[in-house]
Amino acid sequence: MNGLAAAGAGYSEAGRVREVNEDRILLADRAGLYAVADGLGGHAAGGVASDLAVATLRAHVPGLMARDVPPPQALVRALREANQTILEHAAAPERSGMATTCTALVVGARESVIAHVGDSRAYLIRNREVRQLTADHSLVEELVRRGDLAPDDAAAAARRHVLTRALGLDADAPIDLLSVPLAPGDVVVLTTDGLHGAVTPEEIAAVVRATPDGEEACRTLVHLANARGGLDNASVVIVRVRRRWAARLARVAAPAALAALLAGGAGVYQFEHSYFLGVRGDRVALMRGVPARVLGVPLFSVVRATPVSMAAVAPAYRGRLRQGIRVRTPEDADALLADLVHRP
Amino acid sequence: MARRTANVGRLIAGLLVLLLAYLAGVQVVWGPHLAGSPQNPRLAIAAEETRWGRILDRRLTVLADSTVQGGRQVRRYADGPLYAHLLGYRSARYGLASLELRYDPELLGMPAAAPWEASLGLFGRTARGDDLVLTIDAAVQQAAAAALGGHRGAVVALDPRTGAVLALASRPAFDPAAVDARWPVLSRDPAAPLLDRATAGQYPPGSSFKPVVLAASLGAGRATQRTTLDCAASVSVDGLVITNFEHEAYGMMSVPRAFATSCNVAFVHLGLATVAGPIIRTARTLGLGQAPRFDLPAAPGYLPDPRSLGRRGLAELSFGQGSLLVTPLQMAVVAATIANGGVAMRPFVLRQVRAPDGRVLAAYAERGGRDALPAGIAAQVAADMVEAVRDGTGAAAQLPDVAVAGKTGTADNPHGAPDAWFIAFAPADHPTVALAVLLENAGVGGQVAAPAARQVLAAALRAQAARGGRP
Repeated sequence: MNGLAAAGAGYSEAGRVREVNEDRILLADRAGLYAVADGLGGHAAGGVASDLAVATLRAHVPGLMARDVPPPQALVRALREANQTILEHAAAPERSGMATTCTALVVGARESVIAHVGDSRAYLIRNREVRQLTADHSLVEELVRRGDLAPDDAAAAARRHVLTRALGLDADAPIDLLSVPLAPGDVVVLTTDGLHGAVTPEEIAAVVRATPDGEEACRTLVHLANARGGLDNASVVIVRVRRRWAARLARVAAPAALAALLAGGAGVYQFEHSYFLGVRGDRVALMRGVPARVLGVPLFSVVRATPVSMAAVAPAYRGRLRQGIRVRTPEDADALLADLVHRP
Repeated sequence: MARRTANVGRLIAGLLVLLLAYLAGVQVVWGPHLAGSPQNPRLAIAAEETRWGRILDRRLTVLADSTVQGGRQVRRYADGPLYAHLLGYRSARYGLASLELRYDPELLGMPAAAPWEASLGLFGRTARGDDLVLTIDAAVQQAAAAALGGHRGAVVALDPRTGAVLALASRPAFDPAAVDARWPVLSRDPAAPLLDRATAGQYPPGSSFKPVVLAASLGAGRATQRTTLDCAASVSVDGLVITNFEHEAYGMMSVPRAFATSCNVAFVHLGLATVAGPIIRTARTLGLGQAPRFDLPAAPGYLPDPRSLGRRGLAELSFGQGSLLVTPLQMAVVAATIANGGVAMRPFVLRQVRAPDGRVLAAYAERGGRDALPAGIAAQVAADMVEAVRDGTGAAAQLPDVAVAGKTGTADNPHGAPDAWFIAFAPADHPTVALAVLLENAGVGGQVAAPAARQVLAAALRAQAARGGRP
């Protein structure tokens, strides 16, 4: 018994282009069970597939492990079950072709294991290193593995999203099973391609290290992915592995942790509900976010342009507008702007 | 034993109450005063760490801002000497002056600074003080400086409806950015360039005091507009011979004509009839003889004691001579009060305090007023001032299309040529600008001060029209 305990945090968002979020995440600290699933298929059917995958894991894995089924078998049985259920549901014409990726982690008392189908990923962050544990079941990755495609060309390949394996495609989909020898201090990060397609492993590791609060780290990563286009649903689960006594201590310190969580949440809420007046073209515009860029990526978006041109703004405030002037609400922005215009 | 314990308990409770009272006192009663005290080390620390707030005119033109040169913050005054006496200076060696001194806590962002604002430093932003938006209109200030030309003197222009100061200029001036380097020269210059003549220069008003005498006479019932006065070439009062300007003699004339021609002899008769008490009282209610409440320190001038004045003293007082002293700011308020139907609006120069991002933290449309003259008296004096410009000594202040009300003054003083005065307001039927012009040793008010006033009035009316008549 290595006496490990896990604490997970996760966050998932539709992104800026997709209307619905077909990603699902699963967090079950008591069972040490975590997963991300990226649903595929039209008419929101992808969401049904990822729902089924996550729900089946949640329904079966803790029970199986409680009956002393080892984690690898518990995960594989649950995912086979999920595959079967998705295939059955896909018989309905409006859901035909629906499928889902699934990358699931169990941090067990004796061993830790990852089950994996599709192009979602698991990373291990240990000390200063970050390592991708899973192999993408995508066409380009298969080509790279076979030596038919250079790794550098893979990221740019047009068909990189084409999956070779997923739950719901095939009655006996092979499921990758990886045994992961975890140590206290390790962090496992599960991501869907909307996230790891936009954020590098090094950046993920940097955010995880810099942000002790898991929830906040997850939101930061998803927002970063969104800031870089947000073309796809983006999801992340961060699992921190600790010694069991440390976990107990953490439970004693739960009120403090809760307070920190609330503070972090408030910070994120603040970010989401932050507005400022800035400049777009030669007009004053209302922006959401903060007037800053990270690695050239703006941390803000334009809410609306105003009819006020920069020429109408008093020279004393033009420079400050270019830097961004924070406002509480869009209504505040209008009132403030009236105070900034040049008076003859 | 139990009693002793109870006594000790009461003693401790009492001490606690005293401590709480002291802390409450520090926070609530003395707090604002302590916070703004120049001895408050937080001010000195904030001055090191904070970018000084800017000073803007009413159109948000930047008059003063700061830049960092060689790791040191340096104040910049966009128009050099134009606003020197009003804005003051920030000198490492000689301290702060004028508005820079008066509103130093605001410029350092001190009154509003909450502890969490210090965390702004976390975002890599320097803390910034708040900006001051003044009532000053740069166009009027420029006109005032131009009107002063090469003379020593001062111009104060304000909006009589609110007391908002539109221009406050004093010459000679200095470059407020060069105070450190030029101090030895500036402080010893016999022309006293550091003196703000507008608020601190004290001069005999001469005939520009006649509106006060007229208001007192009409108010005391000692004269009406139909009273006739003897405007002989001279009058002798207890051996003191008073003559008219250039020894003119017009014979018997009505009060309005005596006022318009600024007949000294006629006003001596009017003053003697009114006696000193009502004249001094009227002068005092119009703000003379006491330091005006203003954003800058302002001199009180001097009003003689009516009981010790004597007939000769009263005769001199009647045409604004003798021991009487006034400042240009006080005379501008006199003009504004007559213009505003007898209601004296307190002069003020701070219009808004704004956060660095432009948010208005405090705004002042006016700083209070009080009844100084009955409206009917103010209207009669105003009518006579209109006549003085239409057909009198103030003709040089006439504007096309707008009726101007004004009164000239040519004040004898022991230091050479007379000081030239003109106080005025316009448009006469609904005044929006009132002013006082003083030119030291410049000669005859109607010849030099009235044309100067005309330029400033015109500029102020133009600026107000461009604002769409907003005060």
